Amino acid sequence: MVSQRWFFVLVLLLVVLPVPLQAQYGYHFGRNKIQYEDFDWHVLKTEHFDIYYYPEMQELAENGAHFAEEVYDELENKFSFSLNHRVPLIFYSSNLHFKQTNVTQGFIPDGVGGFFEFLKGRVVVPANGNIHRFRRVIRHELVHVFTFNKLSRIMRDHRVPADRFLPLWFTEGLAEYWSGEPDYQHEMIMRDAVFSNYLVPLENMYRIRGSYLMYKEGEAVFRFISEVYGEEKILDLMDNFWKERDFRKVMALTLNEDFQVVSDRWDEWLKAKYYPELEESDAATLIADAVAAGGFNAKPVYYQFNDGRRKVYYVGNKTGYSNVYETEVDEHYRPIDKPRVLIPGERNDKFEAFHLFESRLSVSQDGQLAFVTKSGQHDVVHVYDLEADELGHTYSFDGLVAVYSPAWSPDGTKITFSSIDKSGFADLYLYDIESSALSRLTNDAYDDRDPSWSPDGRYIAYSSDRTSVGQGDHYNLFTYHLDSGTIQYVTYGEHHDFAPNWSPDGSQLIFTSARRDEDGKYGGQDIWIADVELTPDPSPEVASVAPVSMPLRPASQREFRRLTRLTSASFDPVWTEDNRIVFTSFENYRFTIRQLDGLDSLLAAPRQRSVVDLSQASGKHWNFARVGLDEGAERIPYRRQYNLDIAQGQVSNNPVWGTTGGAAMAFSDMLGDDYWYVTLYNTSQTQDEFLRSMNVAVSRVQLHRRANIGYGLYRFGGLRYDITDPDAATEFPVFFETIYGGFGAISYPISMFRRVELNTSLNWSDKEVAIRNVQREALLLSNAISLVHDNSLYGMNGPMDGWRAKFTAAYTTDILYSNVNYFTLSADVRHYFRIWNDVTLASWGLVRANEGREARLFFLGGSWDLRGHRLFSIRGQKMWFTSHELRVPLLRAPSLYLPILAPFGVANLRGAAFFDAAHTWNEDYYDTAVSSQRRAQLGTGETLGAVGAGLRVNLFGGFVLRYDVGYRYSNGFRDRDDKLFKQFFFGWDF
Amino acid sequence: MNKLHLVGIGLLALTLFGCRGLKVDNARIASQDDWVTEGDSPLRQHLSDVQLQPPLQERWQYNAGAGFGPGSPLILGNVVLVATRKGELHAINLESGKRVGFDNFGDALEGTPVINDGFLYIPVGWGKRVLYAYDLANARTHWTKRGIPIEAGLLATEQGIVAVDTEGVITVYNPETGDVFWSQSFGESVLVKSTPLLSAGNLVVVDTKGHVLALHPEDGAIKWTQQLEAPVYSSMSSNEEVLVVPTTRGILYGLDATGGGMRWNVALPDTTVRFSAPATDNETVYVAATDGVFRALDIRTGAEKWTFEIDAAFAAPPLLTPDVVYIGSLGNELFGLDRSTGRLLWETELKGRVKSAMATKENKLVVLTEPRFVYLFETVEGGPYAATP
Repeated sequence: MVSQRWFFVLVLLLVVLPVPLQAQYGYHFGRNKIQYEDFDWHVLKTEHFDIYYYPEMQELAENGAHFAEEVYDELENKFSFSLNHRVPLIFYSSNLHFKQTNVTQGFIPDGVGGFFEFLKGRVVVPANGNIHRFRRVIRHELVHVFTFNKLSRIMRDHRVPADRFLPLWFTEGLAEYWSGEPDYQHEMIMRDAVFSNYLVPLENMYRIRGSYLMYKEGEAVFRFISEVYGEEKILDLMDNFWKERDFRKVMALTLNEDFQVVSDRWDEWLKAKYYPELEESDAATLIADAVAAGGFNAKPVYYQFNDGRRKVYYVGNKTGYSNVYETEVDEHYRPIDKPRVLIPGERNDKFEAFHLFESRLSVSQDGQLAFVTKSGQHDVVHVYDLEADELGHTYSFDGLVAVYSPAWSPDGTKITFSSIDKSGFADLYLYDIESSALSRLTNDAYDDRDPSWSPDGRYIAYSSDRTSVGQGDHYNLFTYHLDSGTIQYVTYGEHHDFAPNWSPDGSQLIFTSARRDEDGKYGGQDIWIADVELTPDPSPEVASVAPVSMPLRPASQREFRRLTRLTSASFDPVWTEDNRIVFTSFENYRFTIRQLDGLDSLLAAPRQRSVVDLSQASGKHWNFARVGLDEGAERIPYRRQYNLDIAQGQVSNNPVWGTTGGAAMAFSDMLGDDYWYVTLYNTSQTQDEFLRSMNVAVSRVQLHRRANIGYGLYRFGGLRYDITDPDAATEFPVFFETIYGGFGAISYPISMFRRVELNTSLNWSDKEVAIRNVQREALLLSNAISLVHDNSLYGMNGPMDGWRAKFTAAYTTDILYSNVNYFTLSADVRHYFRIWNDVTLASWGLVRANEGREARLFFLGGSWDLRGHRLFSIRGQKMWFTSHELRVPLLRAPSLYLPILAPFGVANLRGAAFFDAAHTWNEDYYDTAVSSQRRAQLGTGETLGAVGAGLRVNLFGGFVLRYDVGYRYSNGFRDRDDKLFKQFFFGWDF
Repeated sequence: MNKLHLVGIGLLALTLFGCRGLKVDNARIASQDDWVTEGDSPLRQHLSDVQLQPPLQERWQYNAGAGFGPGSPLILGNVVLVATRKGELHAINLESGKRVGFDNFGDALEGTPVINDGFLYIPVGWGKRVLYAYDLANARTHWTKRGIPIEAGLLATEQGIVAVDTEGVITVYNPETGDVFWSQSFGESVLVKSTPLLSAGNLVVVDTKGHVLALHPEDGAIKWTQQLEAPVYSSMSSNEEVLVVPTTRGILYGLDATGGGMRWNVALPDTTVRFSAPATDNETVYVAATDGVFRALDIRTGAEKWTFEIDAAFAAPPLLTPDVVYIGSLGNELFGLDRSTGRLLWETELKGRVKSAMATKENKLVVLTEPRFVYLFETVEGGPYAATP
């Protein structure tokens, strides 16, 4: 479902608007968040935590329990604080399972490591193969838990309203800082920010709110505070938070220095830390030519066609959607054409998503491009025939959830890849295409990734933390010998050695490595070469799929050459047939594809040579401790218990409706699978009317299955304002109605982009339209079926690419008296054509008809649809409407020009030129008995429209303010109002 | 305005301002049993010579409406005085737990006030930044000194009221007039969180950078200094011979109280551990920490005598009675331990965390807990550890 958020809205609307089942605004678009898995949840109760997990990931869950308990003691000291409640930790074994969580209603994009949710204090963390990352994210999220509880306590102690929040850079920076030592990614970002001069000063951190840069800069701020002012100042900052609303003042009084001075000192501290390295470093932009530079680009591979053409393939995101791109290059690897989208991603069921940062591409010698996408509940491997320029087979594998980095065998008959099954551990697999046989090469808790097949077909090189120094989150390179199943070291040391690829002759491995400099911090992630002498293989053996009894072989030495010393980082180098290196470069906060020539001279005069004695590699296995049943934990099956999420009461007074009062409550279980809503309110104006005007609704929404189900009972009584009711007076459509009934709703997602919705309701309705002397009773049965499609891409102000549509058929009948009997057909299609990067032509077509007895009216008018016309002033049982809008950018960051706008979060000022047209009519349109006056009141029978232009701006990242100016047209566009109309509106573009 | 209006206004005023003001009978007559300063004496020993044998029973709870700082409640006569982080000072009847007085000093009261000769001296560290001298006998402010941010507790000496502000300035005020007798500073702007103490004839102050300063109480002349290797945020304690200084980085120092020399230090492997304010007697220092370990150490050598460990952290100082040591935890519990062995004698669950010092008088123990409760516990007649004469 989509967005389950929209399903909630739908269900609530069904409760509130039961009779007009097809209420005009009673539906929404949105993509679907699908629960593919029926998780068998259990709870592991440790000393401080309730850990929710499923049995397939028991080992990981026990590791996670250990990590949580381990950091709990540390955080008690650091925060000088204890938690007085058990913390719920919800674990998933992979990102693909994590994306199905119901703890949050929103979509979880790739790259989200976990989250802490305030309502129930839940922490949700996926593992995804890398146990070090799993550990770090647990620590990160538990810092959030302590921060939140400590700060709440401080505010309550001082009786200060909790209406202020720590800046996000503070909470995320602290969570990063107290979750572990600065890693190589931290150094990569900070070094690049300093060298490329995009470091955002402390006073402007709000401008990068939520970005990865903000996390890393925040972490650097805490390292600075700790080093310069003392670690204790971090708690002082929290202890003093209640003193000032402006956090800059809190920092100033805590650090005893003017805020600007603190900011400047931080800037100087960073420059003093990194600038000395600059003299020895090379910028990738200066030593390597760009192959693909616009947008995000990564994971390149290279192929030379039979006709001599050369192309570089890579995954990228240049427009908002992720795709596989191809760029044709000349013999010097200079692009000779614009990048072309080879595989359009994120728009259809087959290519739902690419793992942009995690999964490499591979091209076989005969031009078969292998790549991975998410497709439904798991990842699949696709093969694209480059010579024939057509998509070939798609391979999916039972039991495997996530798949990464497929690599072809030299003869193109097999594919090896890294994969995660439900246990959450990443291992290597081999798939024989001809026999369709899948075999598992490794089977342990180590993170095996980035496989690459040797040209002679005997070895698979890959990166893994199985090294004896792996417990410290280090990765080395290994070879897997396919004949014997033995695994041997290629590199050894406290490094992060990733992404090996073979030289064409198979004598070298090219890879990236991040290593600590002499000062202890990580240097740039550079390109290295390892001389690989495979026959005879002298390096020690560390593991085997079959027990191997042979002793470690004699010590051997291996030479490594560092080809680059980059200012920032390189990724996924590929050694081409003509001795060039194609790689991904990170510099100036951009990922670009570059090529490095002169490989011979680089090999002859590398930036560094090192020789490693591989006999140091002991081959010793390591593993993290676990907290399981043997360590005192208790395991029980998960049972749903409902806790109050929100309770809200309200009393209002209105000259038309009188005094109304009521309350609404929502309850849900720990996993967010099951929601109950109770609504109670009364609209009586006199004591006698109290029972008659009592409104009660109870509904339930279940989200744990693929099909989301909602149902409920209700009783409504009171005055209703319903502009869709054909019996109601035109000018003042108010009547008294009593309704009893129930409803059911099912939303079944066909894929991420499409779903079927079924809705039904049965209710008894007693309607009294006093002003028209109408009294009507009915037992109404309404059924509807809808098909919804949505692959639109949202910008800051609304959709900018893709299309969405909803087609509905419904039937409503009075099964007792036949007082009501009508059917509904509706088609709503919206298309967004991207003319240029930021320029979109949006087109909307809408056709609707209600036909039959007491068929309800549709309505138009107002800034949402037919602009310039009074809100909902156009009503009819049949209608068509179309709108076309050219959306263009004006200013991306208006607050850069007018800083006073910055506190209001003003962003992305855009312009629009629009054209709207509509026509409504009723079944009695041609009936002379119906007066022209009534037709005029309803605005039926003529084509109306509007033409104009407007401005849109996003506020606080969530609200879009629209302002339109234009001319209103009527009588088939023959008449135009003399005056311009002007309209404000809050809401996304259609 | 007719008479009815006047009566109404009068009733409203009574409702709003009833009990406003802190008046204590016989305020100027403090007994030996009264707890008039943090830790009961200028040595900050947190030591009582009155038997308080567990099990204790809860006599009353009082809702103070806001949380408490690390400081201590005070007891004068039959009144418990409690300062809150909302800036209020509550006077509570020791026997009944009913409020007998109340006043609002505007902003958070972080440091412990001190009672001296019927006057209550109250530091307001933020907002108004005022040092109040409050006449408890007449329930009125006697004098004020504005613009002085004090977050540490106050010290009453023969020379006057000693206050150390958050910029590292030590000032002694005339208790009667508020005039400054003398003033001294650390030489730079430094934050002081630790309540000063008086030991071996020295007025000792320590800042959050670990500078220890011993001054002559009469003129503020510097007698000795000591630089510790870790910040100090909690109050010190001394038995006149050894000065025990807790730090935030897993180190506890024992200094010579007379000359400031280093006698011993206890350095834990985990440098993130924060020691809370210790309690001392002639033989032993009792100190708790955020690692959840409560330690009894030989005060002359720092050697460990016994430890008591729990799952939650400790952040408050203990309170010593002749046979029993009481300690509250951040895990909402209050423990009574055998003072000589550390054996758990009694424990009880509280409504919230204990992060403030305690006070005792006769057979009563006053405990401040989160979120805003004052507990009074007292001994049970006939219990296994009934009070001894």
